Amino acid sequence: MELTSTKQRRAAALAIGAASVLLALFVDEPYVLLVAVAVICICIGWEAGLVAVASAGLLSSVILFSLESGAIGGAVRLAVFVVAALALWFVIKIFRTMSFYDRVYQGAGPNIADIPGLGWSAYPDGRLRFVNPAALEYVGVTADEMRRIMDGDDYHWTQFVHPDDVEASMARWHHNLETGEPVIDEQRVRRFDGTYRWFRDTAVASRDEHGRITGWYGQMEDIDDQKKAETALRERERELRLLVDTVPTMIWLMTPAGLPYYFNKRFLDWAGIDAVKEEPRGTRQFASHVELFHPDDRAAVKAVFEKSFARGEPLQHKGRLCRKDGKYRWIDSRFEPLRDEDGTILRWYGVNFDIDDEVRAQESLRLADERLARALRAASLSELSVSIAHELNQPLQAVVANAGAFQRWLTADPPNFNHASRVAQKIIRNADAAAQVVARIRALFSKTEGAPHAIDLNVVIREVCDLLGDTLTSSGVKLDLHLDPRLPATTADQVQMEQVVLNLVRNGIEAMQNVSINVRSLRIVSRHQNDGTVEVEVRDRGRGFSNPERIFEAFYTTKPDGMGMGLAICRSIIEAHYGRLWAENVETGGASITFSIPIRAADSIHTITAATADSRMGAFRD
Amino acid sequence: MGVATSGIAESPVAIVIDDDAAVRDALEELLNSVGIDTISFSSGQEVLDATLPDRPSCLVLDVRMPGLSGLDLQNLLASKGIRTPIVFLTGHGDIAMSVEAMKAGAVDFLTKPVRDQTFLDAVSTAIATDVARRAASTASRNSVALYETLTPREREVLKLVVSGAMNKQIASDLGISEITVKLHRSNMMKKMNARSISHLINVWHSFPADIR
Repeated sequence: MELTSTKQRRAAALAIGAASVLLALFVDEPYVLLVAVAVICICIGWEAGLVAVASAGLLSSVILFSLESGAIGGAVRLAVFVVAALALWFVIKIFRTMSFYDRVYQGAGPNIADIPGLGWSAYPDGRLRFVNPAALEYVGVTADEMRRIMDGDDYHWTQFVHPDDVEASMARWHHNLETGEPVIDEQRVRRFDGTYRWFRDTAVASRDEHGRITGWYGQMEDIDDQKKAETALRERERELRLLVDTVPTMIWLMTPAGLPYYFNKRFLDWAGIDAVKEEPRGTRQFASHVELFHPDDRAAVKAVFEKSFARGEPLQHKGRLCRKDGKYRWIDSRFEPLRDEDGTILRWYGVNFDIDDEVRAQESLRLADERLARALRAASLSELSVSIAHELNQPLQAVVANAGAFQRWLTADPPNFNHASRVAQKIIRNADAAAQVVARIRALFSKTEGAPHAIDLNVVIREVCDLLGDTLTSSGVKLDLHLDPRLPATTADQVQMEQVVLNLVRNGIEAMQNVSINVRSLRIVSRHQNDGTVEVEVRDRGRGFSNPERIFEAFYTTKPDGMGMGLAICRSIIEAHYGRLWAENVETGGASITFSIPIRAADSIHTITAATADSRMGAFRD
Repeated sequence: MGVATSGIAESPVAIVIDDDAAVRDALEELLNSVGIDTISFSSGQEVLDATLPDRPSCLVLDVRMPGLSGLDLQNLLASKGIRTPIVFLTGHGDIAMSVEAMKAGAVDFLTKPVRDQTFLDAVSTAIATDVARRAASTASRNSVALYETLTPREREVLKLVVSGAMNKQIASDLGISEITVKLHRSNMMKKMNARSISHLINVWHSFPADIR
């Protein structure tokens, strides 16, 4: 039977005490009362035990002096009884104290010797009372040495704590001692080899039934690896943040719905976003992000983003983004979704590269290319003309000189007809030579003539637009193609048709340069007319023609570096294909040039006449 | 080829250089019709290799030729001390080129096809220039020959006379008597065919630098 509660113990003590009192009165033998004293001492406490000793002394004196055996023997016996009762009380008091701690160690409290890690206990005043073998082993002292340390100075154990941690630990320990709050502390403790390792120290106060602190029981857990890992983790995180903030790239994160919620420092600095003043993260609307782009790019950016977010596909686009100084710079933006195992998008990772310098370099390179190409074309044309002029000038010079001689022999006095006749022969030879030069030049250019065959003008238009893609981009011209998907094939010289379309598109682009209009758009329409022709119209939004009829004249140009040959050549080509080329001004602004050629002209196109041959030379080069 | 038929030593000759045979022939025909003898070459190198006749002449030079260009030939001839006047002909008028040619001493720079009269005028001018040049050069050569006949003392006297010294001064400079100076001076003037002191000074200035 176990009597665990105070009440039960007291009841049992009272019952045994009462029984022993009754037995003493019944047998007139006061020594039985010693049982009652012992029970009260053990079960209730030593103060109660002292009262019991006094009560038992009084009761035994009543018993002894009421007996017939007389006062002499009674007084002696009473004295012996009291001494015995006191002795009993004293012995019980000692053992009761000892057994109390045993009970705490083995019962309600943890067994410090067995707990993992370093175990310790302390007196209520904070002095160290016990350390477990693991702790002794850790700090590298024997039990006897530890006992000397514990008995010596009150806080001699602090020698095992890292000097930097002693002060804070002591302050917390004193605080715990005063308030009785559980100890949760982290400190570095010295190992036997002199190295310090981090420990987490947890301890609770043990209290008696009155709530008084009877001691402290603590355990120290080695958290050094954890601590180091945490430090390393923090370091890595710092490194990572440093990396994210210093890589020469703008990095940002967005929620699956496309709400930006993180920008790296470089991005913040670049775009001039104030991270602190910015609305709470994740609430910054996607729409407002789009507004950072150049007005011309917004629609395209929005479309690309929305498509990408809707489909969850990685995204790449280029656009002009507003920097903090208000300048728009070209950026190359790339996004990748991060997905969980189920494929759900967790967030979007984005990087922006500032490619403005490259784009501008490319642009200027392209412009330089164009200038160079133009210069080369001009050079080759003038070279060609010089060489043609030289070829023709030689026989012409001979004709002129011989004619002069011819005249002089005839007008001489007397006229020398023999010489004149000889010179006249030479003049005829010189004129023949000149005609041969012209024939050679013609032959040279007729070599490039291609055989007419069935071609799709839509294909021609697309190829030319591809060819001029860079020019269109750099001059900011938007292409507006309306190609008839059921356009019949027509028989024509593919290269010549390309030349015509190229010339018309180029003219359209150039017509819109240096014109302040909102939208530079070039409209190209192909259509099948009922009269058996196909028609291609190129319409720009430039200033229009001041004189639509003159533009087809050779050497008529409105361009500073133009030869004035382009449209004349185009018209020759189209007319050689039995078609028509005409120009109009558009009422809403701009100019329109249209050509139409018959669908079946294959039989009629055999040769491009010699008259167009030299203009075609211009078409290839201009 | 095309060697002049005239035997008269001082009749002018035009030297035509053009790579085009028809042009060459026609120009010769034209020049011959006005009585100018011609020699022709088809390249600049042929001109350099040939010995040019010692007659009043001019070069009719095409700028554009394979191998040596007309301008190259002009420079090479100048470096050899041949100062025959040049009339350039070119297929295309290039201002920079014509300026260069004129600076180097060309008489004219004509663009093909050139009118016959313009061409003949240019050639006449060039030949006239050469006649004058040759006359000056011949006079100089003759004076030098006369100078060679002077005694050393007469040469000394000549040098002092053209520098403007009086007889008395010459006598003291040379350490001889004034009478002897007058004698040397008179002999010197006779040998040099000098009619007057000013004539003598002109002849002196036409002398090559090494004599002076």
